[in-house]
Amino acid sequence: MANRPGGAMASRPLHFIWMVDCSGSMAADGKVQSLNSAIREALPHMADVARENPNAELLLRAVAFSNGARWHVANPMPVSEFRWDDVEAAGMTDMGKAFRTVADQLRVPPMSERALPPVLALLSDGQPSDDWQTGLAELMAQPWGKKAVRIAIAIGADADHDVLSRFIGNPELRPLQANNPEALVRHIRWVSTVVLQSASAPGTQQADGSPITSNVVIPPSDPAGSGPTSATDVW
Amino acid sequence: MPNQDAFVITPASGEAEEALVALADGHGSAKSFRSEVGSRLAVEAAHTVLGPLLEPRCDRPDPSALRDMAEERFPREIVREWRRLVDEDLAARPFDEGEWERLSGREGASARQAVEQNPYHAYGATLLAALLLRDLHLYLQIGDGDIVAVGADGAAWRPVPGDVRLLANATTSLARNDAWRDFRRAHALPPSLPDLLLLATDGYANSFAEDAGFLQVASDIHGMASGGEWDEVAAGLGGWLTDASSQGSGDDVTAAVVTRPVERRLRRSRRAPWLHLRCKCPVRRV
Repeated sequence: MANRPGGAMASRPLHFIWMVDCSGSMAADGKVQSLNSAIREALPHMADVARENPNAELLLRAVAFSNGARWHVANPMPVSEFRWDDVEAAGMTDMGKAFRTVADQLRVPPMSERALPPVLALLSDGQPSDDWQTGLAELMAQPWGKKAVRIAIAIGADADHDVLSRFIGNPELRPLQANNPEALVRHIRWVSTVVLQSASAPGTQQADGSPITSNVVIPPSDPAGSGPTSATDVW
Repeated sequence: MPNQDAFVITPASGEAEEALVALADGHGSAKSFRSEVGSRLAVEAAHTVLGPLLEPRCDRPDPSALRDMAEERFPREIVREWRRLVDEDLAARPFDEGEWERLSGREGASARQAVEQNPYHAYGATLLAALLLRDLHLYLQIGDGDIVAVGADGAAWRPVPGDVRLLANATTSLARNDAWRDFRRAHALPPSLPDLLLLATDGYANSFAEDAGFLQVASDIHGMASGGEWDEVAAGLGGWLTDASSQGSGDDVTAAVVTRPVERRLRRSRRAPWLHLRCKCPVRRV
């Protein structure tokens, strides 16, 4: 057979970004420790999904926000090389700065137009302390911000569901409520497997003209984890 | 999942002075559960509307009039014909409970409601069409995919304008209301007719790390054809597409290559016959 024409081939990049709340309130009742261990435990499951979807190149990053926002893991890393170092809790809840930090990285470039829709997983236990509306508007001003699969996990009873719902921007998806460590593990596992699988192989969707809805269909989450409070709730 | 692409080349012999090439890509979403039929009907519709212009006894409008018709009339007629064919198929084979159950299972009850409100969703497809006449090329496109032209110097470009709505896995579609408005078009006139055309569903371009690497495909094939390696192109194309799907996007990939034979190009004949090649990737999307 003749030499293959064209340039180098590559699977399509799939960016997955953890956006974690590291405000002082996350120090209460072991929330931040639970978050650290839940993400760490989810990584092997993410690796399994990546192996099952070789046409998606899974790349992980993480943003931590408290007093400001910073990249906890700045460079997009293959899941096989990704290591989760514990985040610590202290300070305010500058969620708006986290939105802006992510928005800056969703521009084209550095993002490629051939990428798969990125996944943004937001975890928070409280109310934003900064101008989150402007930050969210900046995120949604980016084409990849609009097209991203945006998932939110509310940790504890004080999380601001209204803000998290605005971030999700999809009336069919609600924030996942975690009132205890087990629920947090379950939700993070769901994001790391079910959501990631859907984002890895999205079928072509007819553009519906909606300015904010993602094109990736997410199966329903486990309702057991988002139900009313129970005796095991500690947050 | 079946391959959801379809194509038609007229004349089927693959060699002629004038030709029509059409490729369609059925949407892969759960809502478009009959899109492999929708794509077949899309190329059939393009053939029904544009094919008669190839007839020897056709009283064909002049190039200027054809360009005007490409603005609105052809897109409207293609969409109308596609919808008629879908209606026919749906009348013969109404949606069954199995299809509804699979859809609801994958996307919930709201997905079923969406398809009930617009049954064309189930057949959703894109379309690329190139009508290649002696004195005019017309290129029509709705949705994603690529039409790439190559000039005598080997430079490759996309003659059809882009569409910002096509980011990620979203595409415009024959299934949308007023779909004819979403057609993009371009034309070429002698002496600026390209030496070679590559038409491909979006899985091909998405398989390359850089867009330049995809455009290079057309330039490289042009180089091979110009160097007398047309048979190698014909033999290799199927394998190249399979490689693209497996090593790149994982999507269905269908491509058609149309070129003028070298000796005719050198003579700069305005009646240069076109040599056609088409190949459909056997890869099934998983």
